[in-house]
Amino acid sequence: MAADEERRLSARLQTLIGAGRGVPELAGLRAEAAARMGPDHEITLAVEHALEVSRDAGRTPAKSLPVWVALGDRATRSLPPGSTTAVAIRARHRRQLRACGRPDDLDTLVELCRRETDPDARTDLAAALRDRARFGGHDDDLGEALGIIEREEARRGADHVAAVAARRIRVEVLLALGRADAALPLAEQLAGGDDADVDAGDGLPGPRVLLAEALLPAGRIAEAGRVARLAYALHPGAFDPARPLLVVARSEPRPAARATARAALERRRAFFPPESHYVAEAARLVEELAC
Amino acid sequence: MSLVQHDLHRTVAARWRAELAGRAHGSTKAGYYRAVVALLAAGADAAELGWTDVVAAVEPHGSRTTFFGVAGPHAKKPLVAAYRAAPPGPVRDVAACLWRATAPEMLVEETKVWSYWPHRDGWTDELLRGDGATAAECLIRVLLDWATREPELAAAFDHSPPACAIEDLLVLQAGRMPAGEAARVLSQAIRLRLAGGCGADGVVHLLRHELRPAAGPGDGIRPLARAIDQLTRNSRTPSEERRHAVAIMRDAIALLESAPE
Repeated sequence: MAADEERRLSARLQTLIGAGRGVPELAGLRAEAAARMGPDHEITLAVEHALEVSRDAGRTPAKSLPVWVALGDRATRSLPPGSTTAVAIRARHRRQLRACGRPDDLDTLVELCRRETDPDARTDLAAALRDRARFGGHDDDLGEALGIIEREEARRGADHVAAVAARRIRVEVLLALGRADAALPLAEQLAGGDDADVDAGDGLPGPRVLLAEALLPAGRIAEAGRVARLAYALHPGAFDPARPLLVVARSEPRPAARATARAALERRRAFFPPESHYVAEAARLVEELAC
Repeated sequence: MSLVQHDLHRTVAARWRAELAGRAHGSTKAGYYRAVVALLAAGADAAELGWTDVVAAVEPHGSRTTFFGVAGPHAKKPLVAAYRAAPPGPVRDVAACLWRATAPEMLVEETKVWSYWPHRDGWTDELLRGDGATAAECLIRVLLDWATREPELAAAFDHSPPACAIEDLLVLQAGRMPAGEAARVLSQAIRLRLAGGCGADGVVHLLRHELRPAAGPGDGIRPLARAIDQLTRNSRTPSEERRHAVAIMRDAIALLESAPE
């Protein structure tokens, strides 16, 4: 029976995801799903979503982005807009736009988030507004981001994983607004949780990086360096592994700081587009430390 | 086939299913299960379901005699009897989780097992590697996948899980968990997903500590000692990595020495 077949494939997919299996297994399941259910069936697209998420780990955001645009087009043609798979594919497309981090990507992302009916797009909107503010010229973005993320955090309530993701964005926004006094206790609470080292795979900075960043404006420089060094060592596979190095550089004496900042810039250049805020931020630090 | 997979293919529920497969009684039961799914999806309350409602919903047609041959205390080959016939232990106790006062309620419980079974098949298909805790987390994900496809059925009787899922968790926990506890964990998972607003990741996070054995004394220091041993014995560790290691260890020493005894 087709319905049973679909359920069985769906359970296999959930098992592969839960067991952390990689590209070969997911590619095999994708081929099987396409052969049995058709290439545009929801379950086939769901497996393809998981497969491309897995492939994202081995390619740059700029290479991933067109893959998600194409998959999103197929999902739009084949699935109802509210289907779980269509929503997940659109979310991943938004994630790649944010990962690319160029001004145009962020403008597009803000527009997509505003049109999206999936409530989870609200956190993406807050994060996008925060990132867009890095380039300047959008004075109201941060205030709007804070309002959105506070509401999202309340809405997510009992879902610890979802609420923590919203809280991590709130720390970033508070820091960008210069409200380190509010950001620091929140970052300390996140980094003190028993899931501080779980990689949520959501492309957001981990609790330790946020704590290190919140300690800097509080003047606790040595502590910031310590926390950032640990974050860097613990999370080599994080979305932006060079991010803690920017804090480490700010905690070190000048010659070592320059070398650390250059290492961060090199790592970011190798992964992010040259026009992205990621590269711009690291380049600014290298310049600042050269003076 | 791994040992766990072998055990999962030999569970009470798996043998009960195999015994019914291809038999007329099995396909008759399936007709009644489909009727229950349709009734609950249409808004019927599982606790209020009467045998006449079920009989009226069976396609192409049901009857009182067949209904009581399928469900209730005098039914032929009920799952609850298969559990009661198991040797003493947690698996036999699944019968108590499955038992209900009326025949329609018992039919709903069996319907959960029938409806969940293709999901269970997919789960066992992929359980080739991994430890018991990972397999249990996968079980939860698969159970939640089922629950989101059949929310009315899954929510029935305070989100009671399919009996076969309880038994599977007992197999994975290798006797460390009583049946009532396994039922409670799985029912909490379904409730959190359907009524608590939690995504699958959120549910797994909240229940992970119930599925993994607690760390023993000394577990915290052992990985550190292993890492130091590996680092100091390997003369080919790149200098950059050595510098980072030294900085982290200095940080840790300063922190540990400054902490009050």
